[in-house]
Amino acid sequence: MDEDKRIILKDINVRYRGADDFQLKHVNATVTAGKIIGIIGNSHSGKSTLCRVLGGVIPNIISAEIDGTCNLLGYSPKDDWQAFNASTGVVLQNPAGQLSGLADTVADELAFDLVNQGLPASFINKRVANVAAQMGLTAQLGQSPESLSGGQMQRLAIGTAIVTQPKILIMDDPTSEMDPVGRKQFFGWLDTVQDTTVFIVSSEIDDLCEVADSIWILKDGELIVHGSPEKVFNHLSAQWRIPEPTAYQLAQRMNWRLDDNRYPVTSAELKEAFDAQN
Amino acid sequence: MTDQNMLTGETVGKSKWYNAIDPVTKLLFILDMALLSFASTNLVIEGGLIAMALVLLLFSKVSSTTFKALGFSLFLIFTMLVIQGLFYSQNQTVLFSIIGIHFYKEGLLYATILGSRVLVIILASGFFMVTTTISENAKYLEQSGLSYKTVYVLMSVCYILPEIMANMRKIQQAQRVRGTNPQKTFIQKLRSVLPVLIPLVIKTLDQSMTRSISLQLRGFDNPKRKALKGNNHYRLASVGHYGLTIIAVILIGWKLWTKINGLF
Repeated sequence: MDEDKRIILKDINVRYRGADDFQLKHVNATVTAGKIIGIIGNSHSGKSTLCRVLGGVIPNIISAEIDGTCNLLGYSPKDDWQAFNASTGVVLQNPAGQLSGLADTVADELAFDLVNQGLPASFINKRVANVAAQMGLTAQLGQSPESLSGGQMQRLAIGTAIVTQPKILIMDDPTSEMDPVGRKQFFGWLDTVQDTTVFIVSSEIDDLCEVADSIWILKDGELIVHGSPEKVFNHLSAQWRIPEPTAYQLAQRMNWRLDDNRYPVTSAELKEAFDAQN
Repeated sequence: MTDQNMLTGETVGKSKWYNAIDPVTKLLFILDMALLSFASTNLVIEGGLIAMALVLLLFSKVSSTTFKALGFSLFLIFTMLVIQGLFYSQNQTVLFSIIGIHFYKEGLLYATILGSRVLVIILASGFFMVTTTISENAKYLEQSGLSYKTVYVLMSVCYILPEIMANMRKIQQAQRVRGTNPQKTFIQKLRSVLPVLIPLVIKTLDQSMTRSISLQLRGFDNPKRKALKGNNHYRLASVGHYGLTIIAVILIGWKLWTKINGLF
C-alpha cells in the first residue's frame, strides 16, 4: 500500500531532556488511513507523549531526544513540518490551553486557524457555523470562550482542531471534563467521522470499543498490544491493569460468547452473543 | 447572527459610546493626560484632570478591579503625603501638628501634586482598561499593519498578569479550603503570597508553554494569515490620532522649553 495512505511508526523512542528514562520505547505500528485508533494505558504510560509525536510537537516544538521514523500519510514531521502540521489537528489535554487567548467570541476562536490560513471571510463563516453545529456550540458562538463550562470548552477545543478538516486528528483525553450527555454526543459524533484518521486517548473504554477500529495499549512507554477491540480485550493480561469493557465483563460472567468463541466488547456484539445463547 | 457579523468578535454591548473610540486614541488620551498633568503644577488644573478622567471612567464601565487599583493608589498617595509632609527637603511652613509631629505645607503640596499625577494616570489607564479588550487591541493593531506574531507578543504581556492573578486566586482558595491560609489580616495575606510564588510562576510558565504549543500547531505564524476586515465601528479615529499627537508634541515641546529656560 502507498506510504501516503498509511501512518507508520517505526521503532520510536522518546526521552525528554533531563529525564533518565525513555517515555516511549520501540513503538512500532502501521495504520491504514481513515481508521479510528483508541489509545489506552495507565498513568505515565506514554499516551500524551505518543500524541505529541503523532502531532509533530516532538521534535518540532518540544525539544526531546527522538529516534525512529514517524510518517503520517507520506509527511514527516521533521522534513515537511508545514505540510505535516496542515494535515493534522491536535486536541491537547488541557482545553483552556488550546485557546488562542485573543478571541472575544467562540466564533472568533473557531475561526482562528482558518484566518491563519488566509481564507476568505465568507468561507470561514460557513465553516465556523458548520463546526459549531457539529460540536453543539451554535448557541454559544457569540459568547466569550472564558464563559464556557469545562465540557463546552473541550468541545470548543475539538472544534478548533477539526475546523481545518485535517486528515489526521489526534485527541488527548478530549472528554475528561464532559458530562455523560456531552460524552455520549461526542462519541456519537466520532462514530460519524469519515475520511479522517483519528487517534484518541481516552479512559472511556466502553465508548472507545464502540467506535474504534483498533485499540492500542501502552504500558511504561511500550506499545504492548494493538488490534481490534475484540482481539485486544479477549487477550488482556491481568498484569496490565487495564479495565475491561462493561459488555465484556457482563458476557464473561454470563458466559455469553460470540460464534468465534470470543466475548463481546460492544453493545451490539453483546446482543448478538445473548441472542446466540437464547 | 448573520454571516457578516459572526467573525467580527463583537460581543454584546458593543454599541456603547466608548466602543466608538479606537484603542490608539485611548492610549494617546492617556499619554496626553499624563503629559498635561506633568506639565502643570497648579492644583486646580490637576483637580480638573482628575475630575475629567473620573467622569470618563464613571460614565463608561466601573469594575471592581478599578476600585482595587484606586484603593491601592490612594494608599500610596496617603503614604506619600505623610512622608513628604514630614521629610520634604524644602519644608518650612508648619501647616498642622498631630501629637507633636509637624506636617509642613511645602511637602504636603508637593505630595498632593505627585499624588494627583498618579491618580490622573490611574484613572485614564482605568478608562482604557475597562473599555478595551485585549482582543480588540490585537485586532486593531493587526489591521493597522503589525504582524500577528508581534501583536501577540505585545498582547501576551497584557494578559500574563491577569493569568498570574487568576492562578494566585485559585491557589489561595485551595489553601483556604484546606484551612492552611486564613488570610484575615493584611500581613497574613502578604505572608500567604510568598510560599506560592514558585508554584505560581511554574504554573503560569506551563500554561504559557501549552499556549505556545497550541498556537504553533494552529499556524499562528503562517505567512498566509490575513487579518479579517471587521465592521469598523470607530469614529473619527484619524482626527483623534492627529489631534492627540499634536497635543502631545506641543506639551513635550512646552515642557522642554520651560525646562531649558528654567521657568518651572
